[in-house]
Amino acid sequence: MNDKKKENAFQKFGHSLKSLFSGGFFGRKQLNVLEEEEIQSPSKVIMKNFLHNRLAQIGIVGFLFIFSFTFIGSMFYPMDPLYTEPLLQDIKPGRGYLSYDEDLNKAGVKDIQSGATFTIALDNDGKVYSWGQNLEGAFDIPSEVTDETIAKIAVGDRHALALTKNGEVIGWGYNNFNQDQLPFEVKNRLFDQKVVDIFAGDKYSAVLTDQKKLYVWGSTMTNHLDIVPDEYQGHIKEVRTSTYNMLLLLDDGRLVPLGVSGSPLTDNIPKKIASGELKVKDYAMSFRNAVVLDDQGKIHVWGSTDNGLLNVPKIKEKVISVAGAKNALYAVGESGKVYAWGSDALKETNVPADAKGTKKVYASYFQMYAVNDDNKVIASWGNNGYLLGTDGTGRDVFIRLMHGGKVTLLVGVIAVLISAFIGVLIGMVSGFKGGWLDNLLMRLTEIITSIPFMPLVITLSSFIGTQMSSDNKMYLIMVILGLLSWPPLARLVRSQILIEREKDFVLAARAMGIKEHSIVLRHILPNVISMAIVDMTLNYAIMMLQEAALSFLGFGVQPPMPSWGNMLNAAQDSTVIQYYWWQWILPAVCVLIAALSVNLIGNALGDAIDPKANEK
Amino acid sequence: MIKYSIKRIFSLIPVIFAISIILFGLNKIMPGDPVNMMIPTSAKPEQKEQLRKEITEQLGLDKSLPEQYIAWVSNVAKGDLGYSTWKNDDVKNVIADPLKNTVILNFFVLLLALSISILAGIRSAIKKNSIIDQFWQVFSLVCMSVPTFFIGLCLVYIFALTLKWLPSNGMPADLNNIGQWVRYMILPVLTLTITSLAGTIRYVRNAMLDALSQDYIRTARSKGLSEKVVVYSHAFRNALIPIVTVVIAQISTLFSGSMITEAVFVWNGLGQVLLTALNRRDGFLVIAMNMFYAIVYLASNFIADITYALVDPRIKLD
Repeated sequence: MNDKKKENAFQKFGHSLKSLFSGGFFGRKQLNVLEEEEIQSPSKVIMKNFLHNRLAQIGIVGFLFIFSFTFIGSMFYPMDPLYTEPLLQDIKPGRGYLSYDEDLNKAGVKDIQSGATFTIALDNDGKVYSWGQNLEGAFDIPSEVTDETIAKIAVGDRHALALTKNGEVIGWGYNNFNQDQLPFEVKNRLFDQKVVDIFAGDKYSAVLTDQKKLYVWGSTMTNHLDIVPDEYQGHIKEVRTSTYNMLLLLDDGRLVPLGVSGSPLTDNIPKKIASGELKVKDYAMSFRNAVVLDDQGKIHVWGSTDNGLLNVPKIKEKVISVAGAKNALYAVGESGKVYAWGSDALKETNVPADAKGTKKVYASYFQMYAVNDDNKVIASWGNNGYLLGTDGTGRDVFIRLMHGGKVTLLVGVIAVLISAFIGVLIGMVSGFKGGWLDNLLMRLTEIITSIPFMPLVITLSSFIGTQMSSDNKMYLIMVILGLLSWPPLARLVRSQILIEREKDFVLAARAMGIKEHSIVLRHILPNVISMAIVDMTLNYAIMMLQEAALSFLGFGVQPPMPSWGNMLNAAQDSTVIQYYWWQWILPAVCVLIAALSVNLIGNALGDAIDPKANEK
Repeated sequence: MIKYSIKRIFSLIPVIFAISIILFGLNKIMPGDPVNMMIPTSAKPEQKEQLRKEITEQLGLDKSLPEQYIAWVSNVAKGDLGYSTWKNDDVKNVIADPLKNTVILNFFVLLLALSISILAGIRSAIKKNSIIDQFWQVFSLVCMSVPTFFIGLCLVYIFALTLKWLPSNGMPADLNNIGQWVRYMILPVLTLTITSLAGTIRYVRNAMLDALSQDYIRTARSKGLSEKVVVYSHAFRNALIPIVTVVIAQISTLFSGSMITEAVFVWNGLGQVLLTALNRRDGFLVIAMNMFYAIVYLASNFIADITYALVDPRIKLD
């Protein structure tokens, strides 16, 4: 019973497909018995045979799926080929980075801080929550922390720290630089001091003591953050962290930079703020920018021009708080409106409508949370995760699959068209003309086939395309593949012409006095062309596989332009094979689906055109 | 027969000539100066000029293009394939070991692929549309649609990285240890076998179906011969004719076809040599490799043609 229903649905689908193709093009009607007996045109018969083939239907559906995934999908998800984000390298597939724990709102939010892919929050009861994707164990809150009442939390990109009510610091997560535990030197200095605040940045951590001294440890080789000048020690009131710098607010009201100097962030601090003339009420840092809120409710921004972070939107009201993510800055107005500017690559500035009535924005790295007057989270935005993970430079694999598929499919189509044009032309000329021309052309095809395809393509690609741009290299690959793959088609067309020419129906046509060119055009060519189309279809699958192989070896489409082949290039590294399966299995599966669909269509076309071959 | 062979050989000469001109031209358009690569960076500036002159003369690059071409062709004819700037050695010596490695690898592939595809192909042909037949049909369709290196990568992932039974890539450290050779060869041989099965099973199946549909099979059956005799003695022997020729024609892919697999498994074969030569801009080596491939291809095709005529007396030559 159930089976019958399924079959019906399938048949219905087949019929609708059929009407899509034949109905639209040929205006075909339901035939009555008498008409059924009449002779139908060969193209109609081929179409009918083709569309009734189950495998052909699967192939069409598969190819339409791949086609819409790449060509239509890529319209909705634009891609910046040069985008990279080192902090988001090799992230596992998964979403829901922004799905915060509702329990957090019961006691009210005290602090929310995000790492690269996860968020850790602290409520007013001293309880710690975490959500998002685990990264190096930074998501797993240790039992020492869940058992204690926590006063403060600090989250770096891949590690986190918690400060208990008793002043004890507990760390967890990525610890290659020992950033998750207080080192011996720092502990020694803390013997008469109490830790009052903790901070964390990219692979480093810091503590602020009750004597207003700051100690930094972890990965400080490149940012020199561990060198805190003596004149600041003992006067540090507040700290904000970024990758290469910290901004310290001293108790005399001055704002001073720490870490690598010589950047717009450290050198362009407005004089009034650096001297303490202007009172700093709140401040925040992004990667290379900073924003300061003065006691008049006005904001001051400085730093690098990247991501348009200096283009502050017009704010007509008083600002009550500011916040900074890695590539975006935020200001909250008196009315509860959130102003955001900076990069929107991970939807950082895409503040949702529910963020009305915001009092404070918690922003760090790529996840943002808006909190209202009752200390409840009302909205979250930013990076919600990656459906298919990220690659070795932090790019979204899902989006690259769409855009890469476009390149692979296009390279294949153009290569096949070039090869079909040359192949059919040469095949027809040598088939019809014969003689010395035939001999010459066949020698030419022999020359091209005798040098193995792959070595020759690679040689040409590397000889001609050394200093080409990514775009031109793609065109080069199309042309090389097309120029070297026509010989089999030329031979097929030639032999098909020779065979058809000798058939009885041609003799009959000749006997009936039909003109020679009309015999060629109306009797011989249709048979030859239909074989050529089958060959082209099967060749298309081969071209896609060749592109993948070429790019896999590094001689095909060059990055940053994605193609399924050069996405697979990552799999030259065995750590990628072992740990980052989504980076190589997914593009390979895409190639497989595309090539399989095309092969199914090609085989079914061949069977439809030559039903006798199938009966064997 | 001999007349036919001689005629075939003569028809090959213009093809080889054309290929040699194309490859020589390719060598000339190669970017980068081979002389520059051979001058040691430690040489002093005044020494460099002297060295440049010497090396240019030594490589014969000071002569005109036609002269260079004639010199190169006559050397190749003598068996001197040129000089590799990458290894600072004759191309002959550079490709000797990799050639051996590639042939060893592909010999086992051919052996395995052939035996499996003959067994499976005959099975499929006899029991047409049975489950076994359909399995092999699907298998070859999928294998034709999957990138070669993906099969290799999957095998590495399963057997080398997850189960840790076999090394993921490389060559045996001790070249005389047969056990090590086997361990290192299993995965590449398996990869290449799976890929080549796709085509050969179909081919054997079709050849066998062709043979089974002939009139003499009907005659054999009507004589009351047992099915075994009909299949293996009458049909298979006739089906062997196209199979043998295809196998011989495949000898050329023995050398060139394993390039991608060699790259995946870092197998020190000819494919790896070509890839390294391209990366090192070693023109002579690249051209020598391509010329070598072309000659092997033409030779194997020639042999295939001759064998075809030999094994099938129905073929009329001339």
